[in-house]
Amino acid sequence: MINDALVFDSTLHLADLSAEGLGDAITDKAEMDATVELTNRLVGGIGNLDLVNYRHADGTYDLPPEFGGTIEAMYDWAFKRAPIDMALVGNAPVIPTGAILRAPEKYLRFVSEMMKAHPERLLFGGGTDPSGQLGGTPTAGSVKDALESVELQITEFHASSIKFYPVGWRCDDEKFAYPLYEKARSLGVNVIQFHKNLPTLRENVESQGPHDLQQVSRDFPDMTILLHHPMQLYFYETVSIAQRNPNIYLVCTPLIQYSLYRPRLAQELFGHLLHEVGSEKLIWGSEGVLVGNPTRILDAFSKLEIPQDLREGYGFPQFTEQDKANIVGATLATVFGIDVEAKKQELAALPTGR
Amino acid sequence: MPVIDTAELQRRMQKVQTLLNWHLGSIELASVSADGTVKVRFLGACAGCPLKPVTLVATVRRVLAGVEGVERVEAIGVNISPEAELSLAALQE
Repeated sequence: MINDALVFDSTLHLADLSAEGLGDAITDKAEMDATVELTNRLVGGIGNLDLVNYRHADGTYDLPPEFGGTIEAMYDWAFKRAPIDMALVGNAPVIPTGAILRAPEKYLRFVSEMMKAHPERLLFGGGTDPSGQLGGTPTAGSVKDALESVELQITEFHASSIKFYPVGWRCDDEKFAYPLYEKARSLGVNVIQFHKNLPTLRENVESQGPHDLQQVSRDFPDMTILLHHPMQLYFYETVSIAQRNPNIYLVCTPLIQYSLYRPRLAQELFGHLLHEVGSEKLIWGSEGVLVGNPTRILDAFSKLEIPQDLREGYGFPQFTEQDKANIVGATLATVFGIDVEAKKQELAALPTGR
Repeated sequence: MPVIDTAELQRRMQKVQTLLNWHLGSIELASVSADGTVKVRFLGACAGCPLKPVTLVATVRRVLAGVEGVERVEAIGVNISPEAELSLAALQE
């Protein structure tokens, strides 16, 4: 909690990175060679798969414990060492070396166990990739597989949304993409998320633009769309899209992180967002655990103000306490139909360690 | 000045690499200097990520910090001011 505001993280990337979590070791040489070749082509280097077990038999770590892959370590990272109250657990774009692609059921079981341990604090974000290329909880690379994955995640693992990392396909493709949204909606899930504005590898930047979400917004007015990464690339387009489409919300990473080490840029971009979109459509995310504990970043954000020259020169409004409460949690709570005050009381009544 | 334990450095670099692979990123060792400065280069999704200064401080430096002889860890392409470095240093705690 920050200043009595519920802190609800929209982008907590969890995975069990221990050897057990990563699934069976690759023992087939041809498979290993193919994995190494693909990974080198995609990202330039592959970690040594023999060295991924960070947790020693005696329970100690030689890396920061959040990478150890235990539910306790993840709980400690998010809810004890950081002021997070709730989190939407989501996947990250992954490559074939990763646990999620190699053993999706193990990833889902890990998240499921974590949610069972802390049901008051966690929602499962879900995700899939119909192209089978890069992101999301994996598929073999077809719409049919992705549809099955959506159904599995919602019906068996209680996903509250489905997130997509569209690379090489358009979000407004009626044959390729729309069946996935319709499947989620038919199963009672009305929140879909999209990675935008942040190219991952060497794809054309225009493929990452937010433009194709406009038609999705119009065609699925009863669904809520979380558009991730309003940042420098396509910023004004993103602002315009969020301003005019009532069901599009913005997940403001990396802007929150900029509060710590690029405060002037954070002031300018948040100034635009407050002025033109409004904090009731803005959401924060930690992007943890790889980018570190968010405590300092949330501290910096809680102190962030719109300075006088920007208020005078651009007409930006000053942050209010309600704006910050919306951004750190209330907006996301509203998206998922959670009563903020009731949730705060529920969490306050939990025994220590929950 | 202690000599860098290159075997341990390589071992930890591989672990960092695997962590970054998880997010479609990667990293490589660019150079090691006699004064204890290690330079790395981000690859894959990390190369164009606006949060790579944060990843450098919160993950890469924390993992490499325990290697004997390593005094500094810098990343090619992470060009930030001393003031921003100072702000980010809090993440290394």
